[in-house]
Amino acid sequence: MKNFIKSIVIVGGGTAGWLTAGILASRFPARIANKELTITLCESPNISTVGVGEGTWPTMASTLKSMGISETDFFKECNASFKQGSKFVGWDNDQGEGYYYHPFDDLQHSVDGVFAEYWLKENIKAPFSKHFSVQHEICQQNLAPKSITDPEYKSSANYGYHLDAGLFSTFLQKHCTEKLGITHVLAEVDKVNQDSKGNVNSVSLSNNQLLEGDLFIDCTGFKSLLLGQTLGVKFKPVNDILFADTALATQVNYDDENSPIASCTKSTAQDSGWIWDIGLPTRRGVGYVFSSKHSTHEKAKENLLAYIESTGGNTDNLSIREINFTSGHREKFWCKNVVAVGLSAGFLEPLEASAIVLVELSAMMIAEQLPITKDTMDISASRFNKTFSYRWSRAIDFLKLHYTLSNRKTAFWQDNRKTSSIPPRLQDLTKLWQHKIPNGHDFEATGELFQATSYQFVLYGSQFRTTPPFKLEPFIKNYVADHVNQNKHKEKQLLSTLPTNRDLLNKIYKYGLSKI
Amino acid sequence: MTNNTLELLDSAKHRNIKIDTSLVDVPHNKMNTATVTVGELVNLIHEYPIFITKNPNTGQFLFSALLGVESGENLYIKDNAWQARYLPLDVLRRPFQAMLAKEDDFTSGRIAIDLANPQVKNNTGESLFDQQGEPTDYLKRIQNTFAQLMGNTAQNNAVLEDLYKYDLLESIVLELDLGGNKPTKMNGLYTINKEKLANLTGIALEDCHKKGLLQVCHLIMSSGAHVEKLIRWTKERK
Repeated sequence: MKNFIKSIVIVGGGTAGWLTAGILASRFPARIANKELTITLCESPNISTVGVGEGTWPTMASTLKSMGISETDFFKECNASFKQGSKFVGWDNDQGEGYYYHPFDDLQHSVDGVFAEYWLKENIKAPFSKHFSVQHEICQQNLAPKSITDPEYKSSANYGYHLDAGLFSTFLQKHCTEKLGITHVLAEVDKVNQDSKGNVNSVSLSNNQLLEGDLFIDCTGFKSLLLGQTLGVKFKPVNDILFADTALATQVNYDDENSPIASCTKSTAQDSGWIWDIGLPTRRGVGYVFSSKHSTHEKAKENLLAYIESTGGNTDNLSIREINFTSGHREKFWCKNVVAVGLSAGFLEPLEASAIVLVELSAMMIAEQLPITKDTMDISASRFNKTFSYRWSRAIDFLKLHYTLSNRKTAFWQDNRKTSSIPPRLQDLTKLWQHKIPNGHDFEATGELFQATSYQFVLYGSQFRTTPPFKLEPFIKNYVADHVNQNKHKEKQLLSTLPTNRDLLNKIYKYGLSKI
Repeated sequence: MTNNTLELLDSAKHRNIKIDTSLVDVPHNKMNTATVTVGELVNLIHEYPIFITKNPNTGQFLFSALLGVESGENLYIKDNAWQARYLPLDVLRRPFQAMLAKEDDFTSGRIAIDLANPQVKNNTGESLFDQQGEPTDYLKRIQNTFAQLMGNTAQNNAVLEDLYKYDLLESIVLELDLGGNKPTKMNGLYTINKEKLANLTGIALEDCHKKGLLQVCHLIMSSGAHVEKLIRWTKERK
């Protein structure tokens, strides 16, 4: 019997720890109820979380739903708002002119790419995202993706969330401990204990408890206590590809309680990086992600303040926090009986909000691959490592793509376009896409973090133009033209009926969203 | 109120106004649902299909009588006459409206008149006030209608909340074969989940019985047959 995996110990709370706990627990409610599986989360009472991942993907809606969370409660308790994609402002040129959207809309035909082909061959003047996605205009007008009559998690347009990461952890903790049977231990880890084969068999805690487990999940953040420090799995930096290594983060108040709440994350290009701008109901979260090799702290702060002022924000009494990081990830994520989730596994600049979605995907894969016996652990580990090595590399490629498409002239941007800094796979793809539209066949069918649609939004939102040498098939032309018309019709209808984010959130606080 | 044709009823200002109750086929009666209260169900289910819908401004559930298929279509009006013996209070109140003292507070409010309604006239129809400025019997009936509507609100909301709480509501898409190429779909409707109703046991069942929810469920379910009548009327008018 002792060979069976019966206890999972998550070391570290925060968004990563509690999301992992919740996702695992909601997969195995019967095993937990029958005491065939225990999940314990142990966290330090003193460590504050990094608390910047404030943007999610649309995956979060189904994640919360599967955990049995009421979306109304989530909105109320996490200061959450709707996110429908990202808006990239001024990425093309030094004047900071122009913008493009990468909406969450799942465009039809991303597999064959006929929308993009039509747009390119017909030389359509309207931006790619505007021509095919209703979310371009919805975001321009700060509208919500749904109405108060839409049930929880249902909508007219795909959405994720912006949220207060600190409140989110607390919210998940409450749900996990009260509803999902997670045991919560508040104590410092004094020592990590290993057996003769190097597997972690327990952690000694500051309250003198010895917490034993069959599988350990490392959610200890940058310090990677179990995977990095104890098992010695090395960190693989990618700062030769993604140069940003510093963030100056702050919070900006709204003018008043009726100020509009943006429907997307805004990323505005700067001389040596870019500024994120995330609208919560209560405040904006703003931060400059830059390369310290290309900008001084002072200069970066100056740029950040200038940005805040240019967007109507007040810069008096701002508290600015500096976060230093190295982009990269562990050489492997699951080693022996330890799997790392969150910052302990790796970190990438939040350009496409990949942090939280990687936590969700990791937890889901742990649940799917959860070994039954200890002696089959390595099989799960190797599958997991293969999948996540691929996912991290593809995320790095996709983030890098944004930089390579720019025509900005400062050293940071010039360096970003040097071939030596571009991963070979991305170089190949860019070559391929000179004449061929990125389509579903350029990517793995399942488990791909960024699909062909995302590439199309970024490539054609930027100045990149694929030049297919063949004429557009007439039936494609008619077919897509029909779709564009339908899209216009849908857009018109949605723009006249959707409430603003602010209005809908106020209604949710007052009336709640129903479950049906 | 944003509707600028609404005026709070005033015995001086509206002394000479008359309401032509013989006018039925007016734009203000052209709607495909009428809000009904739980107290009206026992009468209305004999003639109307009753569903649950959501208030578009709040998302809160409402009992609704279905009057037509298309938005703005009221199949119950034919040749300027109402094709039913009982009318929902929400119809009888017209051309008057309740103006609430506070949003969502149904305990106090005043009656307003919609001057844009063609039923409002100077010459023919029911007077609102007598020469002394006292309400006529007609206006008293209208006042009584509002008293019923507003008095029912608390009970109505409690019943809807309990139906939701006991998971007895389900969202449905009504597919009507109106003779076209494909069935016409109606969204935004909810009805009683028969399976959940049948599976109620123990304390829940007892509570539903005590609160009168079981009766409400059966009334609503029995009203579904009138959908056939709406289909027939639609086809007849084509």
